[in-house]
Amino acid sequence: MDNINEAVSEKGKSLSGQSEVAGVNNPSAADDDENKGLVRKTETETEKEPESISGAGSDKDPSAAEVLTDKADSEKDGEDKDASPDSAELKIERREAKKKVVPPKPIGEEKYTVTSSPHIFGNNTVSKIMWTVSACLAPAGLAGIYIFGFSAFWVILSCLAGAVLSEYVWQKLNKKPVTIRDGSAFLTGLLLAYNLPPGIPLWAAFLGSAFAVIIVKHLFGGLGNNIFNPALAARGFLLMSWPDAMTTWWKPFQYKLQTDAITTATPLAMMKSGHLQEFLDSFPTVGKMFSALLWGSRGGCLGETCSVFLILGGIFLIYKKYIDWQIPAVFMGTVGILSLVFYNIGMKSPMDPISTLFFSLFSGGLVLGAFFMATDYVTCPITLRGRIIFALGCGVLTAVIRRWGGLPEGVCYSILIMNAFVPLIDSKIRTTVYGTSVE
Amino acid sequence: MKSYLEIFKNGLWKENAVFVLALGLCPALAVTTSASDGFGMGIALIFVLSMSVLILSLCRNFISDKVRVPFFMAVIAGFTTITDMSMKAYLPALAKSLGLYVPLIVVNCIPLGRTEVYATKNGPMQSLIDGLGMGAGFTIALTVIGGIRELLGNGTLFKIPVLAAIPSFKPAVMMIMPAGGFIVMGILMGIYAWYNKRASNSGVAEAFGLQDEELVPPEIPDEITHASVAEKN
Repeated sequence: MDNINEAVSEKGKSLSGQSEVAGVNNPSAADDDENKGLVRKTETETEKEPESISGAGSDKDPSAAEVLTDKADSEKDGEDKDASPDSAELKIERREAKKKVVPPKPIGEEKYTVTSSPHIFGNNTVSKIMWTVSACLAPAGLAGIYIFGFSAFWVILSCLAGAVLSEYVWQKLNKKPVTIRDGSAFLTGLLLAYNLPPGIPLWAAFLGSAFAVIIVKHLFGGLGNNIFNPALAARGFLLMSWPDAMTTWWKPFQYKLQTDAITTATPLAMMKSGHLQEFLDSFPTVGKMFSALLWGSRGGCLGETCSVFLILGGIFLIYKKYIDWQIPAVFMGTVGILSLVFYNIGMKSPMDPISTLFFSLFSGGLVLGAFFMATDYVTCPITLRGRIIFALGCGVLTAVIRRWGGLPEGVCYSILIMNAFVPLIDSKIRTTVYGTSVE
Repeated sequence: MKSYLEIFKNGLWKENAVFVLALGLCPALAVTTSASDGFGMGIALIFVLSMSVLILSLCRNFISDKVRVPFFMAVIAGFTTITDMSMKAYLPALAKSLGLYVPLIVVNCIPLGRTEVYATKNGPMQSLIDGLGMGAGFTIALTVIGGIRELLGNGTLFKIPVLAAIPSFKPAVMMIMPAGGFIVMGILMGIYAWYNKRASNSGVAEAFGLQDEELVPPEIPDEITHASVAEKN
């Protein structure tokens, strides 16, 4: 910075000096040919070539000759020809002046650092963001372990091991720099684990995260180039490959009963199969249902149930500006509003509007998806307007799949489908280039 | 003039219909849920393709340019019907599992493409060899894709239990679903291009009688930035 300031001030001095010369010693030149003078000035500014402004030889005043000797002179020959015949003395003086000229240092060699934008750097790095997001997810995972027992911990661990190991092996085999320390593979594994039922076989969890890292991420070119969210695509792979294991849900706190695993259905699956009333009846009051949904005491994926910790983590990320608030807000808002409409089309909902809203927001994987999946940097649009369209599409698809689709929950597939639209959104919605106007 | 062996190898490997020309992808994805289905489909296509290019190569000097495509279609459709009916008569199980895709050979890109590109410009013997080579390449591709999908998605290979013999093995059902077909074919295409690139670098290409520069796939820039995409747009 100091260098630049010095350079600028020096440049300013020299320029002002020259303009003084032009103004005092050579008024006629400026009057005769103002445009030419202006061009000259800009030339001196840009090229930093000390050029006599008295130029053009129109002025035959001896004082001009003095100026020429004082200042560095690099007049072109063509201009000399335009001039009336100069005296021999003047020419000699000019030649001597040329010898004295010290060639100016080219711009950018020493005094300027020329780089392309951006010039302002944040202190965020890939690894810092990845580890922060992982830390924000941690409380929900601990809650999941508390709710579903220690087997949830083993599922998380095998997912992490699968993701990190497969990234290491893949990068070693391809002789690429190993980037397992930046936390991106760790985060992928963690997010996948949060999308799995707590009782899934560990080999399936391991295979799923290997699929996420190798096939969804690295075969498309590695971090930053994948089209689909790795964790969600791997969940889709597991759901299609081993549907039984992926739809066996454990009852919360069943590990305390010292019995075999008791299975249950997720609230959304109960609604799909027409057993919503049974779900509502299992709670003595509406308030109990609200708190059960908020704190995660329900059947579901091991990391998606505890909405409170997920929301807190998400709010921290928004506060740190790691994610936009628009995506979760638009996503969840769309699902909530559409659920109010859809649950009264072709079916009779036993819930009042507030319960419906609450149920649609917190009964599935919407909170996890909206805060942590749809906001993935790589697989969401670049511009804010694009992100809002993306979130809107996710919300509409989720609500439609929940109401009319074959699956009880639509967050996973809605985000994957909208991921496929991201290049289209990005190509249609662009920021205008600075200095141009929108037609 | 290329030797017959070269023509055959060209169709079998260098210009493999599925992995290089990316022709005939519908059956390559749709009927490859098992190795035997892929193999049966390949044999059916070999017959239709080689017979069609032979006939059309013999007729190439008598066909007016304006009506050539309907003429091609008529001949290909004739042989497809023969294949379809004989398959239904003698191999009913295979015909049932291939279903619609045998009649659909009529609109398969490979017979029409090879007729248009090759048989109209070359003699009957070269065309026949080219058809056999192309068909063999297609058959191998479909059998390999089908084998991988059947092995992972069902645990069997040619209907013989291999992985399924292990009691704890649970097949990945996705592999015999359409998504599995796309994934397996994409990965195999990648391996094919990678192998050919490596082979062209290490001199194996000469052993196969292949030209170096023709093998190397077009260079893709390491990073396709948004800026470059925007420029193209």
